Amino acid sequence: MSVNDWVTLGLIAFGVFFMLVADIGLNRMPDLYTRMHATSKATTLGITSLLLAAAVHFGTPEAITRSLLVVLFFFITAPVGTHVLARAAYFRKIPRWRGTVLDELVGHYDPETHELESYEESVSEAGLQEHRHPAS
Amino acid sequence: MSQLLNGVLLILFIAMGLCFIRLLRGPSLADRVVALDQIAVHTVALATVYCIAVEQVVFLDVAMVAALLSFLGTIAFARYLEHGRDV
Repeated sequence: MSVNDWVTLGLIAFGVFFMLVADIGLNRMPDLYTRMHATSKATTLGITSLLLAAAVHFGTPEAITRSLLVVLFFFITAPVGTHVLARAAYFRKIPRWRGTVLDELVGHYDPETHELESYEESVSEAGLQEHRHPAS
Repeated sequence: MSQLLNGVLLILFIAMGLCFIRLLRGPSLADRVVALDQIAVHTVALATVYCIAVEQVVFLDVAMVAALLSFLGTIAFARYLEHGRDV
Protein backbone atom coordinates (compact mmCIF):
# COMPACT_ATOMS: atom_id res chain seq x y z
CA MET A 1 0.00 0.00 0.00
CA SER A 2 1.25 3.45 -0.87
CA VAL A 3 1.31 6.54 1.34
CA ASN A 4 -1.83 7.72 -0.44
CA ASP A 5 -3.71 4.59 0.67
CA TRP A 6 -2.55 4.97 4.25
CA VAL A 7 -3.74 8.59 4.41
CA THR A 8 -7.06 7.54 2.90
CA LEU A 9 -7.50 4.73 5.41
CA GLY A 10 -6.55 6.99 8.31
CA LEU A 11 -9.10 9.60 7.30
CA ILE A 12 -11.79 6.92 6.84
CA ALA A 13 -11.04 5.43 10.27
CA PHE A 14 -11.22 8.91 11.84
CA GLY A 15 -14.53 9.64 10.14
CA VAL A 16 -16.17 6.31 10.91
CA PHE A 17 -15.07 6.60 14.55
CA PHE A 18 -16.89 9.91 14.87
CA MET A 19 -19.99 8.57 13.09
CA LEU A 20 -20.12 5.72 15.63
CA VAL A 21 -19.56 8.07 18.57
CA ALA A 22 -22.39 10.29 17.33
CA ASP A 23 -24.75 7.31 17.10
CA ILE A 24 -23.88 6.11 20.57
CA GLY A 25 -24.52 9.66 21.79
CA LEU A 26 -27.83 9.73 19.92
CA ASN A 27 -28.94 6.70 21.89
CA ARG A 28 -27.37 7.45 25.26
CA MET A 29 -27.99 11.19 25.77
CA PRO A 30 -30.85 12.12 28.11
CA ASP A 31 -32.86 14.69 26.13
CA LEU A 32 -33.37 16.14 22.64
CA TYR A 33 -30.95 19.06 22.92
CA THR A 34 -28.02 16.96 24.11
CA ARG A 35 -28.79 14.42 21.39
CA MET A 36 -28.60 17.14 18.75
CA HIS A 37 -25.28 18.18 20.23
CA ALA A 38 -24.02 14.61 19.81
CA THR A 39 -25.17 14.20 16.20
CA SER A 40 -23.52 17.40 15.02
CA LYS A 41 -20.14 15.65 15.49
CA ALA A 42 -21.09 13.16 12.77
CA THR A 43 -21.95 15.85 10.26
CA THR A 44 -18.88 18.00 10.79
CA LEU A 45 -15.95 15.75 11.72
CA GLY A 46 -17.25 12.43 10.36
CA ILE A 47 -18.53 13.44 6.94
CA THR A 48 -15.71 15.93 6.38
CA SER A 49 -12.95 13.40 6.93
CA LEU A 50 -14.71 10.76 4.82
CA LEU A 51 -15.06 13.18 1.91
CA LEU A 52 -11.46 14.32 2.33
CA ALA A 53 -10.51 10.64 2.16
CA ALA A 54 -12.30 10.41 -1.20
CA ALA A 55 -10.49 13.54 -2.41
CA VAL A 56 -7.08 12.17 -1.34
CA HIS A 57 -7.79 8.74 -2.81
CA PHE A 58 -8.75 9.91 -6.30
CA GLY A 59 -6.66 13.06 -6.43
CA THR A 60 -8.33 14.19 -9.65
CA PRO A 61 -9.72 17.74 -9.93
CA GLU A 62 -13.30 16.53 -10.38
CA ALA A 63 -13.20 14.37 -7.24
CA ILE A 64 -11.58 17.11 -5.17
CA THR A 65 -14.06 19.78 -6.28
CA ARG A 66 -17.04 17.52 -5.60
CA SER A 67 -15.77 16.51 -2.17
CA LEU A 68 -15.05 20.07 -1.15
CA LEU A 69 -18.46 21.17 -2.48
CA VAL A 70 -20.27 18.62 -0.33
CA VAL A 71 -18.14 19.59 2.69
CA LEU A 72 -18.93 23.28 2.12
CA PHE A 73 -22.61 22.45 1.71
CA PHE A 74 -22.64 20.52 5.00
CA PHE A 75 -20.86 23.33 6.80
CA ILE A 76 -23.53 25.77 5.60
CA THR A 77 -26.64 23.62 6.09
CA ALA A 78 -25.86 21.65 9.28
CA PRO A 79 -26.02 24.69 11.63
CA VAL A 80 -29.12 26.00 9.87
CA GLY A 81 -30.97 22.69 10.10
CA THR A 82 -29.98 22.14 13.72
CA HIS A 83 -31.03 25.65 14.70
CA VAL A 84 -34.41 25.44 12.98
CA LEU A 85 -35.13 22.07 14.56
CA ALA A 86 -34.03 23.12 18.05
CA ARG A 87 -36.13 26.27 17.75
CA ALA A 88 -39.19 24.25 16.75
CA ALA A 89 -38.59 21.88 19.67
CA TYR A 90 -38.27 24.85 22.03
CA PHE A 91 -41.64 26.23 20.96
CA ARG A 92 -43.16 22.77 21.27
CA LYS A 93 -41.87 22.74 24.90
CA ILE A 94 -40.16 19.40 24.50
CA PRO A 95 -39.11 18.35 28.03
CA ARG A 96 -35.55 19.03 29.08
CA TRP A 97 -33.26 16.82 31.09
CA ARG A 98 -33.90 17.37 34.81
CA GLY A 99 -30.25 18.39 35.29
CA THR A 100 -30.63 21.43 33.01
CA VAL A 101 -29.62 24.53 35.01
CA LEU A 102 -29.96 27.46 32.62
CA ASP A 103 -32.48 28.57 30.01
CA GLU A 104 -31.49 32.02 28.79
CA LEU A 105 -34.44 32.21 26.36
CA VAL A 106 -37.21 32.17 28.99
CA GLY A 107 -39.53 35.12 28.36
CA HIS A 108 -37.57 36.44 25.39
CA TYR A 109 -39.66 34.77 22.69
CA ASP A 110 -43.05 36.15 21.68
CA PRO A 111 -45.38 33.13 22.00
CA GLU A 112 -47.74 34.47 19.29
CA THR A 113 -45.41 35.65 16.52
CA HIS A 114 -42.42 33.42 17.43
CA GLU A 115 -40.14 36.45 17.27
CA LEU A 116 -37.11 36.93 19.48
CA GLU A 117 -37.12 40.34 21.15
CA SER A 118 -34.26 42.70 20.47
CA TYR A 119 -31.33 43.26 22.80
CA GLU A 120 -32.56 46.72 23.86
CA GLU A 121 -35.96 45.37 24.89
CA SER A 122 -34.48 42.59 27.00
CA VAL A 123 -32.08 44.99 28.74
CA SER A 124 -34.85 47.45 29.63
CA GLU A 125 -37.11 44.66 30.90
CA ALA A 126 -34.86 42.39 32.87
CA GLY A 127 -31.74 44.44 33.48
CA LEU A 128 -29.65 41.59 32.01
CA GLN A 129 -30.37 39.26 34.91
CA GLU A 130 -30.07 35.53 34.40
CA HIS A 131 -33.24 33.52 33.98
CA ARG A 132 -33.02 30.26 35.87
CA HIS A 133 -34.77 27.16 34.77
CA PRO A 134 -37.51 26.26 37.29
CA ALA A 135 -36.12 22.76 37.78
CA SER A 136 -32.90 23.95 39.38
CA MET B 1 -7.74 -2.26 0.78
CA SER B 2 -11.02 -3.54 -0.67
CA GLN B 3 -11.55 -5.97 2.24
CA LEU B 4 -10.94 -3.18 4.76
CA LEU B 5 -13.41 -0.92 3.00
CA ASN B 6 -16.02 -3.67 3.09
CA GLY B 7 -15.51 -3.80 6.85
CA VAL B 8 -15.94 -0.03 7.03
CA LEU B 9 -19.20 -0.29 5.08
CA LEU B 10 -20.40 -2.94 7.55
CA ILE B 11 -19.55 -0.68 10.51
CA LEU B 12 -21.45 2.18 8.88
CA PHE B 13 -24.48 -0.06 8.39
CA ILE B 14 -24.40 -1.05 12.06
CA ALA B 15 -24.14 2.64 13.00
CA MET B 16 -27.18 3.31 10.81
CA GLY B 17 -29.02 0.60 12.74
CA LEU B 18 -28.29 2.50 15.96
CA CYS B 19 -30.04 5.51 14.40
CA PHE B 20 -33.06 3.33 13.67
CA ILE B 21 -33.26 2.42 17.36
CA ARG B 22 -33.66 6.11 18.21
CA LEU B 23 -36.12 6.53 15.33
CA LEU B 24 -38.33 3.81 16.78
CA ARG B 25 -38.01 4.80 20.45
CA GLY B 26 -38.82 8.50 20.02
CA PRO B 27 -40.04 9.71 22.51
CA SER B 28 -41.03 12.98 20.78
CA LEU B 29 -41.44 13.71 17.07
CA ALA B 30 -38.40 16.01 17.17
CA ASP B 31 -36.23 13.10 18.34
CA ARG B 32 -37.38 11.09 15.36
CA VAL B 33 -36.55 13.97 13.01
CA VAL B 34 -33.04 14.15 14.50
CA ALA B 35 -32.68 10.40 13.93
CA LEU B 36 -33.90 10.74 10.32
CA ASP B 37 -31.39 13.53 9.72
CA GLN B 38 -28.68 11.31 11.12
CA ILE B 39 -29.74 8.46 8.82
CA ALA B 40 -29.40 10.81 5.84
CA VAL B 41 -25.89 11.74 7.02
CA HIS B 42 -25.10 8.03 7.10
CA THR B 43 -26.40 7.68 3.54
CA VAL B 44 -23.91 10.33 2.44
CA ALA B 45 -21.12 8.57 4.34
CA LEU B 46 -22.02 5.20 2.78
CA ALA B 47 -22.05 6.70 -0.73
CA THR B 48 -18.63 8.26 -0.13
CA VAL B 49 -17.01 5.08 1.20
CA TYR B 50 -18.64 3.06 -1.58
CA CYS B 51 -17.24 5.40 -4.22
CA ILE B 52 -13.74 4.77 -2.79
CA ALA B 53 -14.36 1.01 -2.62
CA VAL B 54 -15.45 0.64 -6.27
CA GLU B 55 -13.14 3.37 -7.64
CA GLN B 56 -15.99 5.33 -9.21
CA VAL B 57 -16.05 9.11 -8.76
CA VAL B 58 -19.66 9.20 -9.97
CA PHE B 59 -20.98 8.10 -6.57
CA LEU B 60 -19.89 11.42 -5.09
CA ASP B 61 -22.85 12.92 -6.98
CA VAL B 62 -25.13 10.56 -5.05
CA ALA B 63 -23.63 11.91 -1.82
CA MET B 64 -24.26 15.48 -3.00
CA VAL B 65 -27.92 14.86 -3.89
CA ALA B 66 -28.54 12.96 -0.63
CA ALA B 67 -27.11 15.89 1.32
CA LEU B 68 -29.36 18.37 -0.51
CA LEU B 69 -32.51 16.30 -0.01
CA SER B 70 -31.84 15.62 3.67
CA PHE B 71 -31.46 19.34 4.35
CA LEU B 72 -34.78 20.10 2.66
CA GLY B 73 -36.47 17.29 4.60
CA THR B 74 -35.17 18.54 7.93
CA ILE B 75 -36.29 22.11 7.22
CA ALA B 76 -39.75 20.93 6.15
CA PHE B 77 -40.18 18.77 9.26
CA ALA B 78 -39.02 21.61 11.50
CA ARG B 79 -41.47 24.05 9.92
CA TYR B 80 -44.25 21.53 10.47
CA LEU B 81 -43.21 21.04 14.10
CA GLU B 82 -43.14 24.77 14.77
CA HIS B 83 -46.30 25.91 13.00
CA GLY B 84 -48.47 22.80 12.79
CA ARG B 85 -50.63 22.36 9.72
CA ASP B 86 -50.95 26.03 8.73
CA VAL B 87 -47.41 26.51 7.42
